[in-house]
Amino acid sequence: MISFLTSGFFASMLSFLAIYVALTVILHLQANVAGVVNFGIAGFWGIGMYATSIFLLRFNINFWISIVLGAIVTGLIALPLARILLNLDGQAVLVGTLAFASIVENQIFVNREITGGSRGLGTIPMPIDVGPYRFIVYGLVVVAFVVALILYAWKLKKAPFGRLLFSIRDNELLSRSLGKPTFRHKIIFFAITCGLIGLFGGLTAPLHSFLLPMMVSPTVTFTAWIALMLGGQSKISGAVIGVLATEFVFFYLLRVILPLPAEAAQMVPFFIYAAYGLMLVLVLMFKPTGIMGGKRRGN
Amino acid sequence: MLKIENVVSGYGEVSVLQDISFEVGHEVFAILGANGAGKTTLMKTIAKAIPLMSGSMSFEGEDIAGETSYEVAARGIAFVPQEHNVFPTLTVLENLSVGSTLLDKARKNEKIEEVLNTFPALKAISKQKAGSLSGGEAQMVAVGRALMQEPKLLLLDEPSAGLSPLYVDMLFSKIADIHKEHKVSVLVAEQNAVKTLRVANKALILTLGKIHMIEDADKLDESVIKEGYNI
Repeated sequence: MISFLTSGFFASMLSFLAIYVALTVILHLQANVAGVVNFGIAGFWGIGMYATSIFLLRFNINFWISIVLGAIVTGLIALPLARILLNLDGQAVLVGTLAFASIVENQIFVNREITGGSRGLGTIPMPIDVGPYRFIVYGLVVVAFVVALILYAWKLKKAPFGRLLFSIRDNELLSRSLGKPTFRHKIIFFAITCGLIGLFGGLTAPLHSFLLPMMVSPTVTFTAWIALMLGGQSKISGAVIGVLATEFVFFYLLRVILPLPAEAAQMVPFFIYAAYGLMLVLVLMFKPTGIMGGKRRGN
Repeated sequence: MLKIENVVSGYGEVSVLQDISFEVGHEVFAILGANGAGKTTLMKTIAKAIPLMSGSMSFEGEDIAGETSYEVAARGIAFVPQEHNVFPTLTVLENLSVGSTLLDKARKNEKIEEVLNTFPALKAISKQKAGSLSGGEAQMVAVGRALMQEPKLLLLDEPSAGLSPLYVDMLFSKIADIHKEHKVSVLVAEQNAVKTLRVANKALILTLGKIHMIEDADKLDESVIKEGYNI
């Protein structure tokens, strides 16, 4: 048991699940609290991942400072984007953020001098050096970041600022007449939460150890959205359950229970995404509020 | 307190209000008129929910013509629209609380108590989602939330629309109380002239976007009102 818990497989599983929980919780904050439909998660995540790695490898800046700088860069890029997009309706925000993520992926390919292009950027070392336990210790550090994020999300929803965001999402015109610059609050909140996505992108970099543009694919965005919709949009626990019901069950649990030959294993992801789609249809048909239920704040 | 001069306003290129001028002091001031007279447009213009096309507006001697809705709200003008006037997914208490974003925590708690005393019926439903309330309850929440802003001037757009007669009577008696006890000036746009004039000090009758007349409430008789309403 101890050898399993300290194995690379378990550490990798723990870290990636924690990263996906973080992305889904941030998505919950953006979509359910502030009413912003962000389909560009992969883009912000990618910026954070690459910016952190560039600070680390090209400028020899300490990893922990690099992830903070990566988060700041991501937030600063999100700021003008939010200024342009958040004045538009929800569908335009969806398309705009999705397009932004594609632009990011494309720019990573094109700007070889900075990002390494299709040759990749690496090798990113594990920032914690505790011998054979470095992977699991790093995994626990990532989990600690996610727990801090969940606490922040939980406190925010009960705080006056959270209520203000709910009111903006419910009725922005009415909320504006309460005496606060609602649009400014929405832009700042979006930029901060995108900065957080960038922070978790930075934390992902050592897990990949070698970065390639294909890692910044829309799959990250769709997986987080599917997890949130399956788990339940209105609750933080929905984000956690959603990730467990998708990533954990299909990418880890089934692999342990049903080990497949290598040639069949290559096809597995395609079946997994088909299964996600089927699950999503079933949940939307029979429990539209998601596994964790609750009334959708939007209705 | 509020001075409106030669205001022209409307939606897009279309002007609904023409050359509107009047002044509101510390009083209950009624804006009366038939459907389509421009009452809601006038209220939205004052609350800066729609832009001013021309003319000037000042509040307590300060020019507010170029200000945004949140800037005029911060000056002490609270607006209760006719429709969509509560945050449906927030509870009654959260609706009140969100109205006090400009107050400190201690004052906010005092103010919630004060508003719940003004509308005691809200105490029993304080944890209920505002989206599930009846029209009358929602109207109380909307007015209560506006009072949480500690306004100097309260703008009420057709507060009696869609309410049962019992709620209408209660609401107008509350408007009088709010003016007397909370020392708040009230600008109320209404179709229900009879009930409104019982609590108003002064009234303006709007006809097709223009001022038909401004008069003390006690001097307006039925024939004058009917003329203004084109009946």
